[in-house]
Amino acid sequence: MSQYYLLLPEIVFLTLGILSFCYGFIKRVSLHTWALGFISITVSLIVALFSFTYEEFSTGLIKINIYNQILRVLIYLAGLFILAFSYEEFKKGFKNLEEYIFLLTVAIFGMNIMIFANDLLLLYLALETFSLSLYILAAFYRDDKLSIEAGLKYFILGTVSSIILLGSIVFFYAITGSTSYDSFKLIKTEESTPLLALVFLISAFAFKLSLAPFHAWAPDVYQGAPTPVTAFFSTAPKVAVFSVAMNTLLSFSNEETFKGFIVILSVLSLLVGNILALRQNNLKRMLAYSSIAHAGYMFMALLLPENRIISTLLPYLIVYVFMNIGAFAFILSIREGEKIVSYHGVGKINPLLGLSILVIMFSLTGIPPTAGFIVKFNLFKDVFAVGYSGLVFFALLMSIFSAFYYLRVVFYVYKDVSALNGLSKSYLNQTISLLSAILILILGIFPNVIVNF
Amino acid sequence: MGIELILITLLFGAILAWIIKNRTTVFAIAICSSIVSFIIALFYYLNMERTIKSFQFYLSYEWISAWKVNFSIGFDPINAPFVLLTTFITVVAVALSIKVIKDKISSYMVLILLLSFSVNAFFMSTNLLQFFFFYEAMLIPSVLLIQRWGGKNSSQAAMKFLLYTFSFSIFLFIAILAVYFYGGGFDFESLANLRLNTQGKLLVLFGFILAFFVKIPIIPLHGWLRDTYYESSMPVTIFMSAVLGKMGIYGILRIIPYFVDIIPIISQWIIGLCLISFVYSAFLALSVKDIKVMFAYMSLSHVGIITAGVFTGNIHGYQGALLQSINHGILSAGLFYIAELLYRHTGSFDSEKFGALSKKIPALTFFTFALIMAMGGFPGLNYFNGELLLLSGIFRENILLGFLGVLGVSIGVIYLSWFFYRVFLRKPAGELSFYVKDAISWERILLALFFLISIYFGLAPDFILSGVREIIPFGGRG
Repeated sequence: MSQYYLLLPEIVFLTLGILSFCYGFIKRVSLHTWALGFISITVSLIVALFSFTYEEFSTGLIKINIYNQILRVLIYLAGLFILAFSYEEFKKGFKNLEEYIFLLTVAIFGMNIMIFANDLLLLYLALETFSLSLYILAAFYRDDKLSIEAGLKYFILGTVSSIILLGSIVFFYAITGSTSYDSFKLIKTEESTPLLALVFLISAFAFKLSLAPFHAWAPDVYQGAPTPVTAFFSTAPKVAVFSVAMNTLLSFSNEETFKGFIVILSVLSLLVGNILALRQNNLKRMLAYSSIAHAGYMFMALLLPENRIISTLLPYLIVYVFMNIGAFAFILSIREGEKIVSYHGVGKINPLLGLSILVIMFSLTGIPPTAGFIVKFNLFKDVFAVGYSGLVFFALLMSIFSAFYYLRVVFYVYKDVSALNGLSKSYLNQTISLLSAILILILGIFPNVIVNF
Repeated sequence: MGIELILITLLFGAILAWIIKNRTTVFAIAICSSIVSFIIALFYYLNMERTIKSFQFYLSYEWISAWKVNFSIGFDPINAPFVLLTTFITVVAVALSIKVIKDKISSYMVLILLLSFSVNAFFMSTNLLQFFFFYEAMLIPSVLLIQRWGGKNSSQAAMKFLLYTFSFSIFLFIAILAVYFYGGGFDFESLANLRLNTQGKLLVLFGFILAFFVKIPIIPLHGWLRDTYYESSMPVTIFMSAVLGKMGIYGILRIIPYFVDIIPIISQWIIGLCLISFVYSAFLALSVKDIKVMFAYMSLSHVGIITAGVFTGNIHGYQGALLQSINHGILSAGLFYIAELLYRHTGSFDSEKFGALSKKIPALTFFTFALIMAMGGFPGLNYFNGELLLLSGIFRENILLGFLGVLGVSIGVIYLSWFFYRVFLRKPAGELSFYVKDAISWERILLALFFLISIYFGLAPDFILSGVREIIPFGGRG
C-alpha cells in the first residue's frame, strides 16, 4: 500500500481531472470547468505538500527523494499558473476549454510520473503521455495556420525523438538485461554499443530540452502555439526532463566521452540560442531562443560531481520557471503582446507592470540583485571548480549577447513614445507577473533559501 | 548603529520617494536623505582611526551561508574618502535635479538614491562577492537614468554603457572565481594567499584590470564614454564622471597592494597606456567646441594619469591616485555644474556661441575661473598636490613616461584656459550670451562650497592621505 501512498497526489490529481472532464463534457460551462481544473491542481498541490517526506524510497519502478518532490511541487505550481493564464485567453471566447484542461492535466500527470521514474520503460510511458498531450495543445488553435504548423512540426520531430529514446532503451536492455536505472552503474562506455545507447539517450533528452542541434522545433512551436501553452512548454517539460536527465546520466558523470557530449551540446546551445535571439522582434520567438540558451546553461551542471548537481540545477530550475512564468504573464497582459513594438510606454501606463518586466529581464540576463545572478553564479562557480574554466568563460561571453536582447525589451517598455496598443484588462496576469518579479528579487537579495540544497 | 546608517538612510529615502508622488515632497525627501547620509559619512570619516590598517566600524550579517559569504561593510583609509565623495556628489546631483528634471520626478529620485546606495555599498564592501554584486547592481539604476531622462539617442547610449560594463565585468567575474578557488574565499585577504605562480597571478590581475579599465575608462576601452556622458541628463553625468569612474580606480587601489610583487613586470606598459590615454584624450578635449563633450574628454583624460599613478608601485603614485580621485570627483562635478548653468537658459553647449560674459555674470565667472585654476594645478588648490604626487611617482618609475605626463598636464591647461577665454572673455559676444543668467543664491553657495573644498584639500591633503603612508594590503576586521 505504501508504494501507492507515494503517488497519492498524482492519483488524486488524475481522478479529479477525469471527474472534472466528465462534468465539463456534459455541462459545457467553461467557467465551471476552469474552476474545477483549478481546484484539482490546488488540491493535489496541497496533498503533495502534506505528503512531503524527507525519506528516500526506491521500489522497483519509482524512486522518491526530497528533490524530486520539490520538482513535483514546482510542476504543479507551473500548471497552476498556466491555468490562470488560460482563463484570460478563454474568456475571449475560445471553445473546447474542457479538452484543453484535460490535456493539461494529463501532461502534468505524465511529467510527475516521469520525475519519479526509476525505470526506462516507465520513463518512456510517462514521456509519451505528456508529449502526446503537448502535441495536441500546440495545435490547439485549429483555425490558426501557425498553430497547426507548430503542432505538426512538434509531433513529427517529437516522434523521431521518441524512437531514438526507444532505441536507447533497447540497447540498454540488450547490454544489462534490465531496464532499471540502477543497472547503469554496471555499464562501461568504452565499448561501442553502450556508447551508442548513451548518445541516443542524451539526444532524446536534448530534443525535449531543445538543446542545439536538436532545437529546430522550438522557435516555430513557441511562436505558433497559444501563448499559455508556450508558457507551459518553456517551464514544466524542462523541469521534468532535467530531473530525469539528472537521475539517469549521473551514473556516467565520470566518463570523459560523456563530458565531451555535455560540453558540445551546451556550447552549441549557448551559441545558437544567444546569437539567434538577437534579431527577434517576436517576444515568444525570442523567449524560445532564450530557453535554448538557458537549457544550455543548465546542461553545464551535468558536468559536476553527484553532490553538486542538485545544489546547482535545482535553484536554477526554480528561478528559471518563475522568470519564464513572469515573462509570459507580461506578454499576456498586453494586447498583441508578442510584438516588441506593442511595449511602447507600458512603463508609463502601468508602472508596476513595467517594474516587473524590468526585474524579470534583468534576472534573465543575470544581473544582481536578482535571483538570475545568484543561480548563474552558483552554477559557474561549481563548473569552474571542476576545471572547466574555458567553458565558464564562453558561457559568460554568451551572456553578454543576452544582455542586448533582454534589455531591449526594457528600453521599449520605458520609451516615452506611446504607440501603445493598450493593456488587456487582465489583472490576474499582471498580478502573476508582479508576484514572480517580487519573488525573483527576494530570492536574489536573500539567496540562502535556494542555494542551500 | 554604525556606518550601515549611510546605506539605510539612502534606501529609506528611496522607498519613501517611491511611495510619495508629490513633486515637492519627493525633492525634500531626496535632499534630506542624501544630506543626512553625507553627514553620517563625514562623522564616521572624522572618527576613523587612521593608524589602524584594517576595516573599522566593521559590521557583518549572515548572507549566503552556503558560500560562506557575509554581508559585511567597513571603513578603512582607502574606501572612506570614496564613500565621502559619493555621498557628497549625491547631494549635488539631487540639488541640481531640482532645476533640471522636469518629469517622472518620483522614479528619478528613487533611481538616483538607489544608485548612490549601491555605489556606497560597493565602496564599503569587505569581500569580493559583495563587491561584484554591487558593481553590477549599480548598472540597473544607472542604465535607466541614462535612458529615461537622457537626450535623443539616450537608448543607444544606455545600451552602449551597459554592454561595455557588463561585458568586461565577465573578466572581473572570472578573476573573482579564481581568487575564490586559489585563495580560499571571497574576502579581500584571500588575494594575499593566492596559490598561483607568477603567470597565474598575472592572469588574475589582468582580469581585474580589464574590468576596471572599462569602468574608469582608459583608452582604448572608452567607446561608451562620449555618448553616455553627452546623452545623460546633467546630474547623471555629474554622478557618472565624479563617482562611477572612481569605482574602477578604487577597485585598482584596493587590489594593487596584493600584487606589488608582480607589478614591476607590467607596470611600464600599463603606465604607458594610461599616459597615452591621458595625452590623447587631452588632444580630443582640445579639438571639440561643445562644452559638455570637452568636459567629458577632460574627465577621461585626468583619470588616465590617476590610474597611471596606481601602477607606479611607489607610495607617491599611490597616494597621488587616491588624493587625485577625490579632487577630480569634486572639480569635475563643479565644472559640469557650470556647464549646466550655461546651458539652462540657452539650450546649447556650443562654446562658439558664448563670449563676453565676465561682466554679465561675475559670480559664475569667478567660480569658473577658480575651478579652472584648481584643475590646471595652481599651487595652493587641491589639484596641485595630487598632480605633484602623481608626477613624482611616475618620474621615479620612468623619466620618459614622466615627460609624457607633463605634456598631458600642459595640454590640460591649454584647453581649460581656451574654454575660459572662448566662453567668458572673447569679444564680441556670441548670440547666446545675452540669455545667460548668473547662478542663483543657493547655487552660489554650492559653487562656493566646491571652491572651499578645493582650497581646503589644497592646504590639507592629509585630510585624505593621513592613513596611507605605505602600500600595504588593507583588510581584515578591526
